[in-house]
Amino acid sequence: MSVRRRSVCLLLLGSLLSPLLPIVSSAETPVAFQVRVIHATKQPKGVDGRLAGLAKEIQELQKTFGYTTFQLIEALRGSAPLAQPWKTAIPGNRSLEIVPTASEGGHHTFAVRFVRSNGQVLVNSQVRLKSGATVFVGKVPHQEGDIYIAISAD
Amino acid sequence: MSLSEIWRHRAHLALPGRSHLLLRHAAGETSPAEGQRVEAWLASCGECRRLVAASRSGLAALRASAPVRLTAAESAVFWSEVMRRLDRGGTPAVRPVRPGIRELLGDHPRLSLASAAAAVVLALGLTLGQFGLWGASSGMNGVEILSVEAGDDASVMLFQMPESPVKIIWVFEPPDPL
Repeated sequence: MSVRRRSVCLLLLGSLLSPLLPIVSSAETPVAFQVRVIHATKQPKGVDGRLAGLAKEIQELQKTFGYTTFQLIEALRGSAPLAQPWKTAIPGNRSLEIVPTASEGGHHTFAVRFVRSNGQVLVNSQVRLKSGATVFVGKVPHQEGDIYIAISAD
Repeated sequence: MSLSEIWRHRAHLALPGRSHLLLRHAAGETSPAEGQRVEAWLASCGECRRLVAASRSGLAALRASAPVRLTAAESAVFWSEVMRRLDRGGTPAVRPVRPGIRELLGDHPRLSLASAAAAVVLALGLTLGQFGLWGASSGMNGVEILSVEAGDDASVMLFQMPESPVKIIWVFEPPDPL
């Protein structure tokens, strides 16, 4: 078999097997996400410029709950393979645990758990996020305001 | 698995509401009738089995894993560090607050746990009971809340203002033990 013919065969084989790649690699590839911890209050300070990416959501929270100040306390980038937990401590002596459970076609499913310092589980949830979409978990009362956690799929 | 089988399974999974129901089944939240329907799908769809298995293992990992705890040293500096960060960011870019629904609604008092529980019943009745609505609205901002399980003493409300893209899993906590 000539080199050219062999190359064509390899190309054909590759194109036939390419649909299998997402299935083979999906369990191994880490799913990336972002966690932003936001302190919302009614003090007259304004909106932290680092929250520009959440402008639409911040505006809704302003309109609905009357917050006037939004401060980004923490911005974390997480990633974990499917079925592997990712954890972080958050203000208020709580912890947040995220487990990617499925990832396909730009949609990612996460199991999200919010836990108190004494181990008491406050909420167990499953959310499905399109890449770039954000869901909020809230709200932990904190210093005349509330803490919200914004979880976004990368 | 042959290519035709893969495509058949993917098409099977892509049917509207199917992945939703599969994930609810994995979380043990389907009715007996729904459960029977899902089991029939699982018998013939490998992709569905894979999704349910992944979801079950994710939930199991969450339920079994030990919670993250701060060390004594971390606890000692935690709040001072939060305060320091808040103070450090004392001059953020200021954006005017637009008046709107706030004026219409007024500043409602913080919900008590009892009223929160009532709200939960109402909200869950309106939302979890109509999963299709949540799924259908996901196109607006790409967020679907598939299941919510509140802890023993906590209450949870799924919150979304009409015509708003923001979805909040709102946790009402019992007061901290003294």
